[in-house]
Amino acid sequence: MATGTDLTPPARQPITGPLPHGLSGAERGEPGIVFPPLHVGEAGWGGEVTRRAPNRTLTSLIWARLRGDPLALAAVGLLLLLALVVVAAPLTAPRDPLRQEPSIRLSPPLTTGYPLGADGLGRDVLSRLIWGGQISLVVGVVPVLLAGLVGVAIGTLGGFYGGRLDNVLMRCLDVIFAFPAILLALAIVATLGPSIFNAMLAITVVGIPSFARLIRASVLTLKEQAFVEAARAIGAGSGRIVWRHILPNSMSTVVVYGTLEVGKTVVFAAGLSFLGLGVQPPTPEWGAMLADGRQVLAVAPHVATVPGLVIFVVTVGLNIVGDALRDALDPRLRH
Amino acid sequence: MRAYVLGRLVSAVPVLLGVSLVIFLLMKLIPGDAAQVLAGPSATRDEVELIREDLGLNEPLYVQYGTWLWRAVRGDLGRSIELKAPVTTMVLERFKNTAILAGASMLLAVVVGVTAGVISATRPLSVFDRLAMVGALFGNSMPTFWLGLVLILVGSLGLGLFPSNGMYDIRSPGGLPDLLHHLVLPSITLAGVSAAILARVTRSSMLEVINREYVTTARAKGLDDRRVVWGHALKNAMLPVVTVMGVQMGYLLGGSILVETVFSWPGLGLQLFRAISSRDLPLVQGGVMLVAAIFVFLNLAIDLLYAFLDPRVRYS
Repeated sequence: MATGTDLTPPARQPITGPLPHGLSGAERGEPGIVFPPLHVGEAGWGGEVTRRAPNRTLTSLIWARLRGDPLALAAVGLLLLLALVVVAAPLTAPRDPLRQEPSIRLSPPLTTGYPLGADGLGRDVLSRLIWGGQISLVVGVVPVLLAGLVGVAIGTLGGFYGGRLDNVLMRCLDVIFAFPAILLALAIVATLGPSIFNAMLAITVVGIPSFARLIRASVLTLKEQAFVEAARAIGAGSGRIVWRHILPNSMSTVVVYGTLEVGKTVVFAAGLSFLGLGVQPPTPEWGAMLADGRQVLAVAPHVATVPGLVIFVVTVGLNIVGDALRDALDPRLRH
Repeated sequence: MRAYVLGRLVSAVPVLLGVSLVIFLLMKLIPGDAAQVLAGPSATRDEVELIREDLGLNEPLYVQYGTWLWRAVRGDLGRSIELKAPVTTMVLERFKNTAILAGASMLLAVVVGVTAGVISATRPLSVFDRLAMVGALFGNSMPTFWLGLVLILVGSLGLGLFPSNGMYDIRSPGGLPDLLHHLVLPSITLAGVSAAILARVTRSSMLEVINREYVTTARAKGLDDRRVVWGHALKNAMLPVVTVMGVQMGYLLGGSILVETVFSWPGLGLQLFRAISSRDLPLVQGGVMLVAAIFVFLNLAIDLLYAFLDPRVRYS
């Protein structure tokens, strides 16, 4: 039997077939998309494998699709550029983001030396945006990674072992799902006290159920597949089956969902900071900057609108990339 | 059908119990002595003791939960620390205003979103379709609070058409015209994201059904296009849209806290925001409990509506 993880079946067959009503899980509110396996584990597909199929790993598939989509490529480029500027903040930010210069308070954009103007305390808006981006980057990505990790673990356990364990886990997630997300996050932060750490914790907690349901649905389908049975027949244990056969095949779904989730999380975290529950002053963060600008909206609209515009641009970029990834990995759209 | 309804109703009970347990335990996570924290640093020893007694903090945890739950079931959510008033009355009073805002936003989102989605699906890749989908992408990516500020900037400060705040009492002398006037900007703000998502869902759902045989048959019978699209096709395309509407109701209830803060709308969201700022935890607890319970029942209603629209659901 051939080994390796890059074999594809002679005839590619979607596992679930078309989705009912043609919706992505996220749009239906509950994740449930299962993409066909991109890798096939060591047991192969049961059929005779006479030649190496073209190498179609997750990354190559994504790349092949993105290459033909200039909009998505532009979005990826823009996001990478922004990330670079933000990570290199000590080099790219023109001024100290905390330094107050009373004489230039509320200067409009394009003031000499202050390309995006100054805020109510005479701080450089551009520098605050760049430094604030570091926090938004961390807050947007870390909770998604953590929620993804925990969610995948819970969903895999429940889906693979089923029975009472699955029941208990899913009922617990139902409870988290029963709260509007922002409300639960709010209640958590209100109890633990406002801080960026608690905000991230809250965002992680409310993010777990979606990942868990998504991966569970995928595991439930995959564990009935012939290649899993084949792996079991040649003596692979549960751990090996999950690790080598089931998880690699579920990952594409998680990656797509995660990408779309980062965009939502950036807005979510900015919302918490806007309410004063995330980053505390004087630390710059996009949502907090927007909240600062509210008081001076009539006299200096740029203080509030510019950070909002940056959040908007980043989210649009992430959504374009996420949609493109979903199209790339959705079997129905791959003709 | 009756068995299905009953089954769904019963299944809501453990979820509600879980929700109440989460909210109760959250309260227990307050770092330090809860009574002291709740009373604030300037409270006298007697006041702290009163709160400790009031919350039954000397009892074992399960007794505390039982007592709290029993009171909550009978409509007693405790007393606000700051305003010393019963939480239930305060929360319900404010929730009416939130319901007005969320209801208006939902109506707006459904009308705009579904209409745009249907027109897009009937003319895929047309100029309208492209514009609508770009609009949906933007709407979906827009931070609510930012949209609110931009609308204030343009509609209120710039053009002076609509007020940006000042809705202090829904039963103000201005009556309905005044209420609607104040409602314009907040409801557009809150509806933005939902309208965008509904437009995308409606479009893809319509595209699925529009080439089905029964649609062709309806056309072949000589029905005019409008009736085929809005009657035959849309009716069958509505199922996923209804599901998404349920999810969006929850989003609107949650999102109202941001919108109410931006526009000083006297709803539950603004009340929660203030309660969090002043660490009035019984009020936070009560407000969150109420919204979560309403959310559970809304989802239940959507499930039942779904079963009503699609009989197959009842038997699966």
